[in-house]
Amino acid sequence: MLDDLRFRLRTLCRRNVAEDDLDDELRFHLERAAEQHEARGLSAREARRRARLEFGQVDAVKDDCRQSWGIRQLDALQQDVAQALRLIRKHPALSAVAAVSLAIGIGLNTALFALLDATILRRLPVDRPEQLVDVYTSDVDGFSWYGSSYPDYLDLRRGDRTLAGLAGYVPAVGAVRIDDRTRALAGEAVTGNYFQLLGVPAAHGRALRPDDDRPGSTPVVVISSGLWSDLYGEDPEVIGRSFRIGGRSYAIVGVAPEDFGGLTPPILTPAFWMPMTWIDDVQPTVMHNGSPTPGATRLESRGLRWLFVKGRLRDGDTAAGAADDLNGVMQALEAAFPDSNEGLRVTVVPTGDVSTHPMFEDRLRAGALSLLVLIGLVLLIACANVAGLLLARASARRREIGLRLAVGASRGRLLRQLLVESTVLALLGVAGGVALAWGLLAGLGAVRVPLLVPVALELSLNGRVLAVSVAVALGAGIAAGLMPAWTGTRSSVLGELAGRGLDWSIGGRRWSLRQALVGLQIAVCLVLLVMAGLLARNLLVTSRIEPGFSAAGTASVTMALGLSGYDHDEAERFFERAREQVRALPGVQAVARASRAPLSLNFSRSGIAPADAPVPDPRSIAVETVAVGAVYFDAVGVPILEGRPFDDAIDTAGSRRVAIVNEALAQRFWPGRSAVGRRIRPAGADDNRRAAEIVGVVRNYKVRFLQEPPTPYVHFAASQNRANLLPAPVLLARTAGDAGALGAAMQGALRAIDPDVVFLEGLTLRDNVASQLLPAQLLAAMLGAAGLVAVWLAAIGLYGVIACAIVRRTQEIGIRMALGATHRDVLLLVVRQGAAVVAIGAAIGSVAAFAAARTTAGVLFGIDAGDALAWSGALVVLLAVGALAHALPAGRAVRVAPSTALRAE
Amino acid sequence: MTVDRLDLPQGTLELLILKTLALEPQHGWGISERIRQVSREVLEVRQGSLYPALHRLERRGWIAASWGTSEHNRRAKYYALTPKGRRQLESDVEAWRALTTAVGHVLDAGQESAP
Repeated sequence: MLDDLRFRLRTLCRRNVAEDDLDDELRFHLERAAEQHEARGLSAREARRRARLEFGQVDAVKDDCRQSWGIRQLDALQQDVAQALRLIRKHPALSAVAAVSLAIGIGLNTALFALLDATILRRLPVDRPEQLVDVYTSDVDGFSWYGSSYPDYLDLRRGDRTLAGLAGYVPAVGAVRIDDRTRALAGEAVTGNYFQLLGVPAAHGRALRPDDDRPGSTPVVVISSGLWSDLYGEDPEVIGRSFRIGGRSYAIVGVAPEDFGGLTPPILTPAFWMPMTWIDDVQPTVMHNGSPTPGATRLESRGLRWLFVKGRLRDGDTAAGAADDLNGVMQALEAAFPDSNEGLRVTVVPTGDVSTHPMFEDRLRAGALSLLVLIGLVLLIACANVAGLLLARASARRREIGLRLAVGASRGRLLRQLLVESTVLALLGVAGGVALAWGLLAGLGAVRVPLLVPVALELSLNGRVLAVSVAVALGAGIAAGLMPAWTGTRSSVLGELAGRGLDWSIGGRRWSLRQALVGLQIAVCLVLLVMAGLLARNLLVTSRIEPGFSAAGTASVTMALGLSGYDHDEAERFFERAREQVRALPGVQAVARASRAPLSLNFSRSGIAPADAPVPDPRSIAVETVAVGAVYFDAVGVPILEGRPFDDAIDTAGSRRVAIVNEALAQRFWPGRSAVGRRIRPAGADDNRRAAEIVGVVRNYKVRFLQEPPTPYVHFAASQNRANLLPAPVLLARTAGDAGALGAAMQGALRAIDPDVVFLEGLTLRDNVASQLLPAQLLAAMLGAAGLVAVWLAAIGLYGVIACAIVRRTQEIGIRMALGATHRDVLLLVVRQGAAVVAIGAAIGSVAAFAAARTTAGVLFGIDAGDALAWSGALVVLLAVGALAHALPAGRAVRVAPSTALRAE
Repeated sequence: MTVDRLDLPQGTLELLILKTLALEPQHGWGISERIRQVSREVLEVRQGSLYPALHRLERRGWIAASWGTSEHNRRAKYYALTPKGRRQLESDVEAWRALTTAVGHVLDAGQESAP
C-alpha cells in the first residue's frame, strides 16, 4: 500500500524522467530484437521492421505502461485543468467577470466570517466551556442583567449546593507603569478561584490561586502572553519581577496561555489578571454607579452590583436547576438585607448563549444573522453569474459535447471536465477573495472606534477562517458548475449532430434556466438594495435624533483617577485645581464633573421608589443614576425646567440629600403634578433615612442609547457623593468654540497637575454620540457596498442573457428588418427578452425583501419595514440597471444589417 | 500432440516474470527470451503485455528496477526480485500447483469414467 503510494507519487513528481525511462527501456528491447533478427541473416532494415511488428503498437504499449503506473486519473485531471485554463485564456473578459464575481462574493463572506469568528462565534478557550453559566442579578422590573455585588457573590458561593463552583471577575483598566510612562492597560480583576474554575493553567509560572485573593496577602499578578512577548521579550526570568499597577507593586507569578483572552468581550483583551482584593487599584471599565449604598468600599457594598459571575455546572445539571438553588440563597438575602436586596433574584444563562452581554445579545444576533444572510446572497448572485457563464459556454459547446458523447466519451468524464472548469474559476476566486478579505479586515481594523477605552479587535485570517473561505469557494464552484454541466451533457447525440442544437424547442429549456438564474439575481439584488436602503434610512433617522444635550459644544475628558492611587481627599484637591485650570482656558463657559458622561457605557442600575411608599412598592423602578457637580447642566446644555440646580454652598456633605430628576421620572412617579419637593429613596428601604429630596426637574436627554424612549434618570449632587466620583470621573466643559480642541487642551492642563493621570478615549460628547452611531454606520456601509456589488453582478448577468439572445436571433432580426420591421419593433423584441425576467425577479424579490426587513425590524429605529423612501430607491436603482443592461444589446440589434444577418449562419 | 506456441493464460505472466527474476536480475528483453527458452519455445510472451506487467509489479513493490549495463555494454533497465516479491512468488507457485493439480484431477477423472 505504502509502496504503491510512494511509487505513484514518485512517478507523478518525476513525470519526465519516467517517460524518458520508458522510451529508453522500449528502445533497448527493440534494438535487441532487431539484432537477433539481423544475426539470423535479415537485412538491418528488415530486422528493425520485424522487431517492431512483433512488438506491436509502441504507443499503445506505452499507454498500457502508463496505466500500470496508476496515475491515469491524475493525468486526466491535469488535462482537464489544462483545458479549463485554455478556455479561461480564450475568453478572458467573461472569465475575469466570473472570477471577480466569485472573488467579491468570497471576499465579503470571508471578512464577515472573520468578524463573527472574532466576536460571536468565539468559544472560550477553557476547560469544557459548555458547562459554564453566567449568573446575573435580576429584578422585579424585568431588567434582568445586573451584575452581582461582591457580598452577594460571597453569599451565593457559600450557599450554592448545585454548581461545581462560582467565580467573579470584572474588566478593568489599570494605570500600568512601563519604563517611565504610565499607560492605561485593560485587565481583569478576578476572584482567586477564577483560573481553577475555568480550568486554565498558566503557560509559564503559575495561575492565580484562592490564597492570592485574601486581604493582606502579597499582591501578585498574571500577565498575558501578548504582554509577556511585547514587554519582556518572552523572558522566562519574568517570574517574580515587579509589575506596577496604580502605584502598587505586584509580583508577576505567571503568564496566561496564548489563546486565553479572559472572559471580557473580545474587544477588551486583558493584559493582566489581578486578585479581586486589590480592585481599588484599577478602574472597572463598565461600572459607573452613583446611587447611595451602604458599605464603604466596592467590596463591602452589597447594593453596588458590578461583578460578573460565572459558574460551572456539574454533569447533568441545568442552568434552570442552578438558578432554583441560587434563588434560595437570594431569598434569604432578601430577608436579611431588604435595603439592598428587595425583590432581587438571579438569572442563570449558559455562557455559550451570550457573546457579549445579554443586554446586547438580541440586537447583536439579529444584526449578525441578517449580515450573514445578506452577504451570503451576494455570493449566491456571484454563483449565478458563474453558472450563467458556464451555461452559455456549455451551450456554445453543445455540438462538440454531442460529438464527444457520440464517439464514446463517458458522460462522467465530460461532467468532470465542466466541474473542473468551474472549480478552477472558484480557486481563482478564492485567491482574489482572500486578498479582498484581507484588505477589508485591515480597513476595518483601522477604524478608530470611539469607545471610552482603547480597544483592539483581533481580526485575522486564521486557519479556521481560511478553511471556511476555501470550503465556501469550492462549494460555490461546484454549485455553479454542476447545473450547467448536467444540462450541458444531457444532450441527445443524434440531435446535436443533426445540427438541431440551435433548434429553439431544444434550446428552450436551457434558455429558461439562464433566465431563471438572472431572475434569481434580480430578486436577491432587490433584497439587498431594500435592506441597504432601510439601514441607510435608519442611520439617517438615528443621526438626526436630538440627544437632548449639547453634543457639539461640550468637551468631555474622562480620567481614570482611581487608577493613579488617589484617595478621596486627594481626588477632591485634584478636582479643585482641575476646575480652576480648565475654567482659565480660553472660551470655557462652564466646567463640571460627573461620575459618567451621557451615552457612555454603563451596566449598573439601582432601584428607586418614592419615599413614604409601602414596601415593596409596585412603582419602584430600576434607573441609572449619576453624581454631578454644581454647573453640570450648564456644561452639558440641558435646561432645568423646574426648581434649581445643585449648589455646592447649600448641598454639602452634611446637609439634606438632594436629587434632580428628569421629566420621565417625575412623570412616572407623580404624573401631572410637580415633582419638586418630593422625595425618593432606594427601592425596598422601609424608612426614609437615605431618601433624597428632589430640588429640580430637567428636560429628558439621552443617557444609554440614542434610540431610547424618554427614560427615568436621577442626578445626585457630587458634593454629597464623593465616593462615587472616584472611579472614572469625567470633566465636562462647555465652549462656544471647538470642543475637540478644548478637550485636548483640558488633557494638557490636567497632565500639568499630575503627569501620571490616565485618560480614557474620547474628547467631546460628540464622540459619545459617534460611538453610538458607529454600529449602524458600519452595517449600512457594508450592506450598501454589498448591494451595489450585487447590482453590478446582476447587471452583468442580465446583460449576458440579453446579449446572448440577440446574437442567437440575429438571423431572425435581419429577416424581420428585411420585411420592414422598424427600429421600434426591434427594440421591443430586445426589451421583451429581459423585461419579463426583471419583472418576475423584482416581484419575488419584493416578497423576500419584505420578509427580510420584518425580521430585522429590531435593528431598525424610527422607520418601518415598508419605508417608502428605501423601497422606491431600491426599485429605481434596479430599474436603472435593468435599462442599462438592455441598452447595449438593443443598440447592437437595431444596427443589424439584414444582409449580414442572413449570412450569419 | 503438437504444440506450436501457447498464449499465456490470464495472470500467469506475472508468475513467470517473478520466477525468472528469482534466478537473477534481468532486463525486459532478457526476461522474454528466457521464458521462451526455458519453456522450450512453447510459451510466447506477448511483448506488448510484458512491459505493462513489469511496471505493475514494480508499483506493487514486488520487483525493483535499476539502470545497469547490459552484456553488450548498453544501458538497460534491470529488474530484481524484492523480499516482498519473493514471498509473493512462493505463495503464487503454491497456488498455481494447487490449481493445476486440481484441474488435473478433474480432467483425469473424466478419462477414467470414459470406457
